[in-house]
Amino acid sequence: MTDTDAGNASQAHRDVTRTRLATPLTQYGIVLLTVVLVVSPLLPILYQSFIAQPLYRDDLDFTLSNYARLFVSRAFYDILWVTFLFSAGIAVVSTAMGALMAVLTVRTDMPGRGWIGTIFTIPIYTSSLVLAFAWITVYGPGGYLTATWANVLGLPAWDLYGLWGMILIGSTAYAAIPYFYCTSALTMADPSHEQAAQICGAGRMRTLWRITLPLLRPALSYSLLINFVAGIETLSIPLILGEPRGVRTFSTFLYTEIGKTEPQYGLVACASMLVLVFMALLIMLQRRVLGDARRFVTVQGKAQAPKRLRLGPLRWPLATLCWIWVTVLVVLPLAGLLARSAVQVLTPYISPLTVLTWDNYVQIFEVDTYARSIWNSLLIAGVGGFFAACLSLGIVLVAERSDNPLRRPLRFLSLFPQAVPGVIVGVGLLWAFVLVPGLDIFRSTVIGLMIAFTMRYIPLAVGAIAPSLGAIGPELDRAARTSGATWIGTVRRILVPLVAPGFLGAYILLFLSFLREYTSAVFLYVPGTEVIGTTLLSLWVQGKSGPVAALAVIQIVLVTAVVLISRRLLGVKMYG
Amino acid sequence: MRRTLLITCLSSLSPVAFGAAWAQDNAIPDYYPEDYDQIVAAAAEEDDLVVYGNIAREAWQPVIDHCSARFPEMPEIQTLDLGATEVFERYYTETAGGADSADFMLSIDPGGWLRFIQQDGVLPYQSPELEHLPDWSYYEPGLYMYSADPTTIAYSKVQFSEGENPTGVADLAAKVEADPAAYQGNLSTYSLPEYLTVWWPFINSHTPEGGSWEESEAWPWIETLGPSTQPLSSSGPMVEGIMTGQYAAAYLTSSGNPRRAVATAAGEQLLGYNFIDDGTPIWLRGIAIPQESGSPNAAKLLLDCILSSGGQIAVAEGDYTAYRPDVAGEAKWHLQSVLDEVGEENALFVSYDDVYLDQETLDAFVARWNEAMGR
Amino acid sequence: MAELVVSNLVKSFQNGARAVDDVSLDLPSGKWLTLLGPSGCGKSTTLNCIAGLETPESGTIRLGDRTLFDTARGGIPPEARDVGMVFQSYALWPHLTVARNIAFPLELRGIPARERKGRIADVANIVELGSMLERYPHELSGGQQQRVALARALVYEPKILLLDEPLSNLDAKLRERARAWLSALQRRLAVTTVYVTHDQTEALTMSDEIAVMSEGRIAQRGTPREIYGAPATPFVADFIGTSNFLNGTVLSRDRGSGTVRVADAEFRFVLPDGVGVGDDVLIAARPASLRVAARDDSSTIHGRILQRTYMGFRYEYLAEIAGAEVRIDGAEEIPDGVDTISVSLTPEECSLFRRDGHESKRAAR
Repeated sequence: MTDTDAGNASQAHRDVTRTRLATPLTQYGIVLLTVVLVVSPLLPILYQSFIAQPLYRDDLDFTLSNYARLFVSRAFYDILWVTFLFSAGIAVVSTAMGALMAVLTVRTDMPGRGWIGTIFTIPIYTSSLVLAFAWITVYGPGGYLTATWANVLGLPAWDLYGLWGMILIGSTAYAAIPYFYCTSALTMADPSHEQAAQICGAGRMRTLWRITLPLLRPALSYSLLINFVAGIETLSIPLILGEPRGVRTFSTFLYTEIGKTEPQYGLVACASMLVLVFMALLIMLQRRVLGDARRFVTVQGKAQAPKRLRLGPLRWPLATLCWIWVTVLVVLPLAGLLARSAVQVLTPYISPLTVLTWDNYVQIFEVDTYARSIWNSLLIAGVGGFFAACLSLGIVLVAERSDNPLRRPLRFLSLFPQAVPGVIVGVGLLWAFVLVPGLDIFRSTVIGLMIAFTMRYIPLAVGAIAPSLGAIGPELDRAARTSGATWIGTVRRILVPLVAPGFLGAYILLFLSFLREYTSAVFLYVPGTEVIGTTLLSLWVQGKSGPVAALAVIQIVLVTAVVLISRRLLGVKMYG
Repeated sequence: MRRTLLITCLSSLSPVAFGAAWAQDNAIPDYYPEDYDQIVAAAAEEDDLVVYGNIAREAWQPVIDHCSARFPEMPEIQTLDLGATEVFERYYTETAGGADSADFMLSIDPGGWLRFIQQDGVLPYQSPELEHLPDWSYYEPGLYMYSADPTTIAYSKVQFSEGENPTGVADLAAKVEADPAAYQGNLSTYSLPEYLTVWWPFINSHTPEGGSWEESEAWPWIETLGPSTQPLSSSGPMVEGIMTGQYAAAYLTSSGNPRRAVATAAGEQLLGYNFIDDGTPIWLRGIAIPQESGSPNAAKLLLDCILSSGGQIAVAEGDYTAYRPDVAGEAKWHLQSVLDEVGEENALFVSYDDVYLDQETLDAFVARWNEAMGR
Repeated sequence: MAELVVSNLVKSFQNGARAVDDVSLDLPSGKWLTLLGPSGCGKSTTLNCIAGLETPESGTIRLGDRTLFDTARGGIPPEARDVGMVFQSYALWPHLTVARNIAFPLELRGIPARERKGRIADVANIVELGSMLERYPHELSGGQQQRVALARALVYEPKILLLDEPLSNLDAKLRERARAWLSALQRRLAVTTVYVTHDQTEALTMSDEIAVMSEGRIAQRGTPREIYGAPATPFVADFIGTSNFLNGTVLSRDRGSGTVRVADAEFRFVLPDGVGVGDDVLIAARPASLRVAARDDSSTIHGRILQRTYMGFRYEYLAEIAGAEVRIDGAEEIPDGVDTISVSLTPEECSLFRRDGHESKRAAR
């Protein structure tokens, strides 16, 4: 091996020269794509916030008066206050519910805890839109149980609409997030702490309260922040449950203002800018609190078989309470939704069996606009989700595994969309597509929605891929580089094959999210690009509860199928 | 509902056969201009026809099936169901940037239309069907009407036994006054400012001769009804609410949703409706071709189709109300039967009046209404 | 094979401190240079700079007639440097078989499949892995993995072989065998080799030359014999073999040698240049050169016993002598109750340094 093979060496150099440009082109391409994706919805909004007229006019005056008007508007402060109450309510109630349920199912010997925990987390797989419909079907003013309670039994009824109902449904919808965080924190925590406390003579409840709960503190504070942000973002719950009582949050303010005659675009843009700044601050705080961007990723660690706390005589009473809890919050609403989808009307006055019908489903599949929304959703989730997963993989590779000078800004940028509520993404992209010549092609096809959804969920996918890439030792790519592979060659032949399971997990996560996403679509969709969520909303506005229920059931079936298939066949676990 | 679907099925089974028959015999009646076949030929070359409107796809379906059968050359028709004002706002936003927008528009909002006409948004077009239509159904330079839809009072058959049902707003107010405990928040109606087109004509029809709307005799009724009323921006939820037991009645609501509801077995048992004996506002649902229409010829075919006899019959199949006089006997729902029932004097046509541009008056009206409603 | 020349290499940490501070090296073709030092001394950073995995701020790196890096033109990427590298963790790609791991660099170089096969077989024989080619890395033992990594780095006949602590993950017995094997292989292939380790035994037994690094700089450069026998600084003396440090003062100087007082005794030492009468000096003594004295005389140092440890066949005493703590071996037991110790010193086996603040700190350890 002492004689050098000059031919091979020069061959290597030729390859290197040929591909020398490919690496920076790819890396900067990914950076540029991310910048465009993240910034394009925001720029039009920033621009509009300084313009007196709607931004599509020709005669534009730059002004600060939008901000001035916003700051003196009482209505705006009312909206902020309601948004705060709603978000804080969701954060506190959902975290309390999630933590309590996690302690009971992970740390105690409560009978049926496995099933209870599973049912408790179902709402995270349905969308909050569907959950809101389900609740109204059963507990709304005309809901089956409400009507039975009030009209048939003649007892005083409750009012699901308004702030309290919103907080209750929102908390049910988002309680799975604190539940997952607390579950993993509890599973990883050393059970000897609790045993030690019991040896010291602490009672069971005291042990739970004094020892177990404090272990959860990081998971709790993280959950509080995440669900606070979720509360600001969510559109469906305040729209469906708040609007009828005039309870208006920031999301519904944007939604209704833009749907109005002569909308005040300037005010909408200003309010959006302020909320963006506020959200960005919140998310920075979130990072401060927990150090990094694990917004969607559960804490990892070694799972131990925890020693369960013996509840003793409390076992059955607690189990019964928990069953009632998940039945009332989750099982009955979803059962009601399923029932509603199969009848002409769900009312205590006539037996549902006499008005059984397939019409609701027939209507969904026969009216091409409705049927198309299902195919569009599947197309966007399947194709758009795949491209989004690819882009996210590219971002993670450049940010974590390259020497590109922009890798740090890229990491920040890729997490920024967490701070952008879906409604703002929709409005901003609509304006961008409409204002910039040539971009209309995006709006008139599902590509526009794919772009919007991708922008929304890049942090989710990045958060899912980054840990699996992090688990691959950096020496593996260094070895490939010194062996003669370019950065791209290393990525293609070493990193991508190794990170494939993480990529698949991210893809499935994106598929499910895209299938349920609608907030960024409400302003963006045009005839031909309807998705399930927008069709659900427009059917709801028309009061077509039957088709709404049918389409919601179809969505739940699709999501469940994807979750089950990916669990059984691919071994990919969502969330927890 | 079932009937609509049935028709949809039938016509979609054999559109080609239908279309061929139409094309040979009836597609272009002899009173159409001679060069009409050029419009048809040009339409065939055009892109999908995008319709912005505020009616649901199922209601469009019979009309679309009819037109596609009559003109096989017609490109694919896409409909988007938006709010009455959103139809215009969306068009303004999109066309300002040169983006594709609506090729054909439908809205129930007179103010929106009047502003649209002022801004030269409407493509001038003289339909060959115009001579067969009533005068009130056309505005220069190209605004026509899709349907003339009466409002109704819909009520729960569980709450009101036969013969006891409310017949008008005054009658309902009297019932509430007689037994306030039975009406705790279980009434509904259209909300303001979205439905000025219902409230403005109704309140004004009870204004004493020479008086202003503030002196209308209807206000006390509204004040009686207000505390029990949950105003909504869509009649679908009102009808659904009546059937599920949430509402006892919805006054000044639409006719389309109650019509569709009573066609089902459940609706027949649970819901009834009738026109309003002290004033039935009748909406005129405007249709026009926008200036920026990307498929203007196809849009003209659709417009003429809607206005034709066959088109009006199809409009009624979608549970909107035909108004073309020569189909009074054939259409499933026709304006004539409404007029016969409520009497000409109680038919309040929602005119395309300049008042809908007078923001000051409207704001004052809305404020008065909110006060009466106790909101 | 080629000659490696590194000049004035500088590389900083993110916080601005110098990881590599003005390092210059030259290594003749076919020789083995070991970069030796404690963790954080800059040895791995230097190696990574040569490999192209890190980019220095300034300096030049030349390999044969090619410039791999210079300040003005920057560096060529690692894949174009034609270096072979073995990592501490071996960095075998888990999704590829041994054969595919070794084939990877050949595929990148466009070597036809037939030739690839032959070369893989050759290199597998050299590293004694012929029967393992179709296995996956996780099916191999640590020693086998290390040899696969070596085969992968050698198969394309790189101009230079870079080894980053390749033996540190092996257990002690295996490491000893691997040392001999690796050293023999390098001599046979005569591949220019840079070897990074913190293990002095590896450095002393395998290298042609050693560069001892400390805080980003080269503390001493020389053959193993020079480094061990004549450490240039107290740091080197300390790092290569355990040394005791004694404080002394120069009493007189006469040409190359002079008298140095250590505690209450005086010795004749060879004095380095620049050490004059009255200077404080530091004497580095290998453990073997400090002994418990058989009997007291004028060349016996006296100290105070701080701690005594019975080691089975000998005793180890921790004593304080002239302000420094030293460890002294002795065959005989000093009876309990006696708390002074007499120590003899062999000046020829010691190194002597002029003392400044920095070194006194180390000596007081």
